[in-house]
Amino acid sequence: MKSFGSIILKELLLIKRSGYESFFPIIYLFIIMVFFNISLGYVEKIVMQELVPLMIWISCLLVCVLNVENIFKDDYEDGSLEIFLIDDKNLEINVMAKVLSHWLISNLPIIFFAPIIAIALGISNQTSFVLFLSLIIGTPTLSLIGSIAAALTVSLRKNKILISIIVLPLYIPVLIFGTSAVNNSYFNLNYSTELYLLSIIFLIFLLITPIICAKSLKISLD
Amino acid sequence: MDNLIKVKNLSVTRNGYTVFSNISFDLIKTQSINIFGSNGSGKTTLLKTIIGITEPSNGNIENYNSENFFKETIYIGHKSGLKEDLTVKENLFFFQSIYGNQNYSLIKMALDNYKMNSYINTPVKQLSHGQRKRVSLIKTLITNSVTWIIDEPYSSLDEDGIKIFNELAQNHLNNNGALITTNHKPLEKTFINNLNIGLGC
Repeated sequence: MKSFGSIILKELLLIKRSGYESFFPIIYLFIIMVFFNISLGYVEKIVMQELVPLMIWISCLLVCVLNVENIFKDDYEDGSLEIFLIDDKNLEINVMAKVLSHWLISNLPIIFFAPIIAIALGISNQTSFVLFLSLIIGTPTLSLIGSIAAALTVSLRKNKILISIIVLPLYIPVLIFGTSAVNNSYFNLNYSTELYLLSIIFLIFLLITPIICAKSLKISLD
Repeated sequence: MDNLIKVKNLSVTRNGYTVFSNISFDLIKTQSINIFGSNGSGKTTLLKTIIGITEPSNGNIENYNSENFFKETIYIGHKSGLKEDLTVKENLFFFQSIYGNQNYSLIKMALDNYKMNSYINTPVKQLSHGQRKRVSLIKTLITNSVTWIIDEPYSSLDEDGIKIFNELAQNHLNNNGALITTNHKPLEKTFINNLNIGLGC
C-alpha cells in the first residue's frame, strides 16, 4: 500500500511540474458552458435550465477523454511501466493508483465547481446537490473506463482518436443515468434508482478494470 | 541457497521468426552473466523474458525465490525510467518507495559513489545522456536486490562511469549478489566469476 500512496503523490507532483493547474478543468467547463449558451441562445430560459446538467456532464466526459491517454503513456515511453509489470503482486494496486490520480486531476475540480455553476444558472439547491452526487459517483467510472482504453492502446503512437472511439460509446450509460438523476430531481421525481445504477456500474468497473488493464499492459509490452 | 535463476532451453519466436532459441544457464550468487550479441540478436528480449514481461515460446525459467522475485531483483532497461520533470532525488525517492524502503542516506551514498552528489536537486531534463545513465544505475544501489539485471550498462557511460560501475558491480558480486548484463561483445576479465553467453553466434 506504500507504493499506492507514493504513485499518487508522484503523479500529482508531475502534473504540477508540467504547468497544469487544478483550475484548468474549471476553465474548460466554463468555456463549454459558454459555447452551449451561445449556440442555444434562442431557447427559452426554462428549457435552458433543463439542459444545464447535460452540459455539465458532457464537459466532464470531454475533460476525461482529453487526459485519458496520459494515464499510462508517459510511463510506457520513459520505461517505468516495465517496473510496474515486474511487480506482479502489486500490479492491480499500481493500476488503481494511476486511475485515481487521473480522476483527482481531471474530474475532482469540476465535481466541486459544477454545483456552484448550476446554482448560478438558476438550478435549485437540491438539484445542484443531486448533480454533485451523480458526478461524484459517476465520474470515477469515466476514469476507470478510460484507463482500459489507455492500456489497450498504450503502444500505439497516434492513439487519441482511437481512445475516444473506444471510450465515448462506453460512457453512454453513465451519461444517461447521471443526467436522468439530475433531471428527475429537477422535476421533483424519484432519483435514487439512477444513483444506485450509477453505483452498480462503478462497482462493476472497479472490479474488472485493474484486471483488464494489467493484462492489456502486459500484452502491449510483450 | 546459492541458486537464483535457472533458465532451461528458452526460446522466443515472433511472427514465425526465431529471436533466440535453446538458451540455458544457471545464475548463482557471486556470478555475473554477460549476454552478448549484435544488434537485433535478442538480448533485450531475453532479459524481458527472464523478468517475466515477455512470454517464452519454449522452455522455462525457474526463480528459486519466486515469492519475492520483485524485491530480490532489480531491472534497469534500455529506457531510463526517469521522470524528466522530477529532480534526481525525487526520482530515486519514488523508485525506492516502489520497493517499500525509503532511505535517504542510501540515496546520498549511492549518489556519492557515482559522483552525482552535486546534481541531487537537478531536474533530470537538465542532465546529459551519460548522467542520466548514471542515475539509472544508481537505482541498483538504493534497493536491497540480490540480482541486478541491466540492459547495456555501458552505453552512454564515459570511462570513469564504466570504471565506477565495474567496481560497484564486483563489490555487489563479492557480497553474494548476482548480475546479468547485455553487451555487444564478451566481457574479458571485468568480473572475477563471469560467464559469457552469445546470441546469434
